[in-house]
Amino acid sequence: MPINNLPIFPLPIFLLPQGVTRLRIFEARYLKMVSLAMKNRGFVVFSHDKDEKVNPMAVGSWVEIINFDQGEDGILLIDVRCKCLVDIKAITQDSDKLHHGDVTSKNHWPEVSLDKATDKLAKSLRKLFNENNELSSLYPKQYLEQGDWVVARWLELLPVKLAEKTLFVNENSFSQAKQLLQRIILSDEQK
Amino acid sequence: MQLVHSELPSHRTDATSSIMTYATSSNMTNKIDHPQLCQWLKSIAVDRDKQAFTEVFSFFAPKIKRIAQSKINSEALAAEVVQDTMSNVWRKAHLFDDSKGAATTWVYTIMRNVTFDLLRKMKANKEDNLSDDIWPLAESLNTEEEVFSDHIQSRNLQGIIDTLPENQQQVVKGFYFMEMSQEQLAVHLDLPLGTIKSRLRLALGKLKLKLGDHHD
Repeated sequence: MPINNLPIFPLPIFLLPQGVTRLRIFEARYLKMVSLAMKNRGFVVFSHDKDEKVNPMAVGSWVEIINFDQGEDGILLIDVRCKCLVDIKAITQDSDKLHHGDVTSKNHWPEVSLDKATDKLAKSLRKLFNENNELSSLYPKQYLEQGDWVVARWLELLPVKLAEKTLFVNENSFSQAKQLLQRIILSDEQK
Repeated sequence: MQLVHSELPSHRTDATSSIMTYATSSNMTNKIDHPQLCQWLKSIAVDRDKQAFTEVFSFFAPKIKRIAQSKINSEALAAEVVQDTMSNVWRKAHLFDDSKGAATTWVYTIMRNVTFDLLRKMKANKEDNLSDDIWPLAESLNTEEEVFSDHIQSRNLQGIIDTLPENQQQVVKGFYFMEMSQEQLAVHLDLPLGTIKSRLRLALGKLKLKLGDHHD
């Protein structure tokens, strides 16, 4: 079931379902996007980095605005949370140079409870949230008992290229994502 | 990941205060803590110290923005000047020599050059001067191409970021993206940076090996 005409914001960020990030908005067309998004159905962050010369998968994060503020420099700050991933089917551009896309929603990882590895990852993630006010302020509610949530948040935070992260938008990529984190964070080697 | 501007803690000036007023000072220029600024620049140059850069950023960014805005009368362009200037400061901190002049002079000189560069480029794009887009892409007909532009990384800034080594790119990006740098990850896991780098490399290598067959 396609959803038509959602505003599109191309950004080099990676956001999985339930992921939250803060954005600074100052370009006119994206201010317009925010006002459309507030009235209607959110917007789509199109994960894209023009640095990385990889054909971008036309996958985006459909987000809703959950908070906004004005920075000290007067620039609008919005907090957005990903509702679901979407495949972007068609893109048009309006007279304000804002892009709009027709999208279909895309299933992501199923809910899983913690196992031995994700339990360790959850502890490490909790420590990170505790040490970091800004991060924890974005996530007043943390689902540290859910394996998929823990792996998704870690993956978003990990300093690896967007092209590499986008491998994990696929529905069946959970165990690979977990394995990657085990290797990097826990230095667990899976034989 | 925590370096969103609004959260920068210290040394913030009142938006209405005059250009050279330091946060803790009611006086004009003479209360700027010059030795401190020099120290921060040195830490940036020698240790790539992000905390120091944050301090320098929060000291200069509002000032640069006000000056730029008064010169070029565009908020977006002023933001551009701030970004370009500060990424130059990050990149060129090792060239600062405190025996030759004050840190403020050095930074404002960079700002001046950035502003001139910008104005020159604007002149070259005269027909687009009134556009909201700072660097119009000559709006190509190709939608895919067009999608590549974004509000955060102007083409100009992107060019500068491209020239940075990866870990320094991370710092500049860190101001916008809630992603950890390799250094932050190293600190969090209490491991040497080299270990983190090699773990990332190895883990990604294995991942690609695994995916290699069915991924382009």
